[in-house]
Amino acid sequence: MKKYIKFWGEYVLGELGIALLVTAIYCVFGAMFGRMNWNGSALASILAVMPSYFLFSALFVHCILTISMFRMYTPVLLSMGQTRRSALWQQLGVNAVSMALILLAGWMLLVGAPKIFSYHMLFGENFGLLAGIELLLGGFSIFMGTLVVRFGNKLGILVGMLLGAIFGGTSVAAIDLVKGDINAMQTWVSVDVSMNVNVIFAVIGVAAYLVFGILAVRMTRKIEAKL
Amino acid sequence: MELTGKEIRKSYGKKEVLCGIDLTLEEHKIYGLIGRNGAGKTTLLSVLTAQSPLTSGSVTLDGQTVWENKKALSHLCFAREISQMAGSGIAAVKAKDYLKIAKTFCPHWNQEMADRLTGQFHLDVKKRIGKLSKGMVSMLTIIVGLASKADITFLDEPTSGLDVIAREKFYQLLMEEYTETNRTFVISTHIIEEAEDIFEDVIILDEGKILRNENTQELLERSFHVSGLAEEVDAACEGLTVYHEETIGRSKGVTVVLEDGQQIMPGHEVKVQKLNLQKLFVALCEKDDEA
Repeated sequence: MKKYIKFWGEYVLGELGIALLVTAIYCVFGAMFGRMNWNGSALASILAVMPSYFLFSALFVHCILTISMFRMYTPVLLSMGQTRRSALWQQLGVNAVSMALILLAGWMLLVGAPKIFSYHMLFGENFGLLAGIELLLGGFSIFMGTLVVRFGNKLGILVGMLLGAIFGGTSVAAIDLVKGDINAMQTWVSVDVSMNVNVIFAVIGVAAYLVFGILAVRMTRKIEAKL
Repeated sequence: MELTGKEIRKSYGKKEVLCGIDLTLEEHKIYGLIGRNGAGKTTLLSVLTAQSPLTSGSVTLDGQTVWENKKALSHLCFAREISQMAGSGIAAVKAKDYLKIAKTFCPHWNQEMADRLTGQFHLDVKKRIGKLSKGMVSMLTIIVGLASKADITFLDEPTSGLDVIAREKFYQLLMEEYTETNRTFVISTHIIEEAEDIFEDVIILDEGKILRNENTQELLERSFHVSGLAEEVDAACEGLTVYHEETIGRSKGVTVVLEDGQQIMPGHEVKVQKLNLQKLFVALCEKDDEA
């Protein structure tokens, strides 16, 4: 058990590291395209935009790596004497820990970030909504990952394109958010944000995550190991 | 420790790849699994190690079902060929990381042995699997197979792409491991001639069925190539099952495998020669082509 924890622990830390790297790249682009408020401290400005950038980029990295993890590790684990059940639960566990760490880090960044832009307040007050969306997409990537394991690379390419389109489209929408246009944010999420919506989205996110997890278990009951 | 497969059937869609195979693998033996391309060798190894689900039948290890049985699976290792195609996922992994995965998940992994073999094969572990030569990938699977220390180890085409020196090294390592431990090895290969002396038992698979499964030396002692004038050969082989007939003018050559109580009829002017395993394999499997 100890060596499993060490192995997967390194994997999770690696994923968080990549997410932070992508966040840093986002910050650089943010600075280049005038998304920072340089009137105040530069560090405060970067910290101000970081939570939203982190939540977005970490989710993107997490979705791509989840599919890649299932595609790569499931057959390898089976070929090394693991049962399907064990291989899948290990990966689901890793995925859940990774997702929890992303949400925790995102929340800590939101709480600690200087509130320079008005939309930060909006983000901070609606963390349940954001977490729900993150869980929904995280769960979806689990299901897609197992679909790719079962049905092969062509489906993987399609899923990659789909995720690219989702995140690309969201990123275009997010440009308005970064400008601090709350109306655009409300249009984007298409809901009148309130505490109830936070709870509803969080519950939907958790439920979707669990449902996708169960579907993944069913999907891999009889898969073949093909290295 | 005994691995038993009963009435193993495996189909992909309408195509039946394994057609009711019965097989028992005994402790401390080296089995050679030979067959033509598409005969079902890899599929058989996959179902025996529960890496592929059966369509019907059963596989048990000392009476325990192998499928999704962690305890039974901990005694088995299937060092299978690794795809180097870019989309395979594993191709992007470095050899050292692949060995790290094996170290983590193979329950009886011997790191000292893995390090020693890596050195002996001069394997560049810093390279990604997709960038390794075919021979290097074979070395990687050999290292995983041997260092797994699994009681029953299956090696799928382990010598594929290896040069003659590396192949000799592999056979030497295999024999050392075999003599020092109680392990059973099942090796599928197309390079039959040089592996013949290694195989204690040989399993000849053809079109999803086992043609022969017996002690290699005993099988070869009963296998002969009979040649001479056609009528003399026919007379000498009367009542015997004849494989792989070759006729040139009035001369004829056939292969026979004598069963209990059978013999080549004496008193005929025929030349009787012993066969090696490769020639016997060709004779047995080409028969189907001719039919």
